[in-house]
Amino acid sequence: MPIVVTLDVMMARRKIGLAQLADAVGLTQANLSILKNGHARAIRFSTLERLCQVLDCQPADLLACETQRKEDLTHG
Amino acid sequence: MLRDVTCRLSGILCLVIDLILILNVLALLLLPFLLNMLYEQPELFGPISPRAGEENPAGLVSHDYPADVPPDSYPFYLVFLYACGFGTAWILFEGRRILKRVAQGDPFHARQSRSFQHIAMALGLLTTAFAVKIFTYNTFLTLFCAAVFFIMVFVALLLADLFRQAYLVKTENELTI
Repeated sequence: MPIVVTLDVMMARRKIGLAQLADAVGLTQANLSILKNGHARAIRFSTLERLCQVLDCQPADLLACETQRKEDLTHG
Repeated sequence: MLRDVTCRLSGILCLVIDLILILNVLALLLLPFLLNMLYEQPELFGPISPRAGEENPAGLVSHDYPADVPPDSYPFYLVFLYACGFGTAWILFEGRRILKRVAQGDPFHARQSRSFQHIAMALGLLTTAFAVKIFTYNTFLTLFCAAVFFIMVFVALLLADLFRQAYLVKTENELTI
């Protein structure tokens, strides 16, 4: 899947755990884990908004495009 | 609340199907005996009456319903009724599975589509049995049943595809965080 969720990177930067983030965002730990591990098929804007608010970041900090990243690395 | 009603109704229907399935299996087990009894005592079909203007030939049972049952038709009817009985038992068994999953609150289970495909196969078996009967001991009801079962095969296949798509939509929705 070309879209990669980099939620774990932002969680590590903000030093916040899965349970704490799930509670803050209003998701279950299971659903947040599905999102973090890249098994989700889609993400709602409302969920993305809450994540950005809690983690104090932009959507681009949580999502990356795999093909774009590969091109960036190739053309360096 | 609607979901509770659906689950309860499915549970009740399951019980009804269980009862019918038991009777179906019993009938299959006792079929040779019952059929033999009917051939030896044809008056069990109903009053014996010859066709208008004809004498009743020996051994020929003539009724408006069901069709004429000559004595040499026993092997055919035995095989035919076994095929029909097996087909209906299969349909009831798969129907029971479908209703069990609905009663458990998971109507769009991955296996629902498979169950409907099995029902389509069982209906195909029934269609084939009645189609053979058309060319042997044909009646209007045989033609009607063959046509109905033939159409129901496609209805079952359509439902199988619908439930497959419903499962995909449900999975997509579950994995949308």
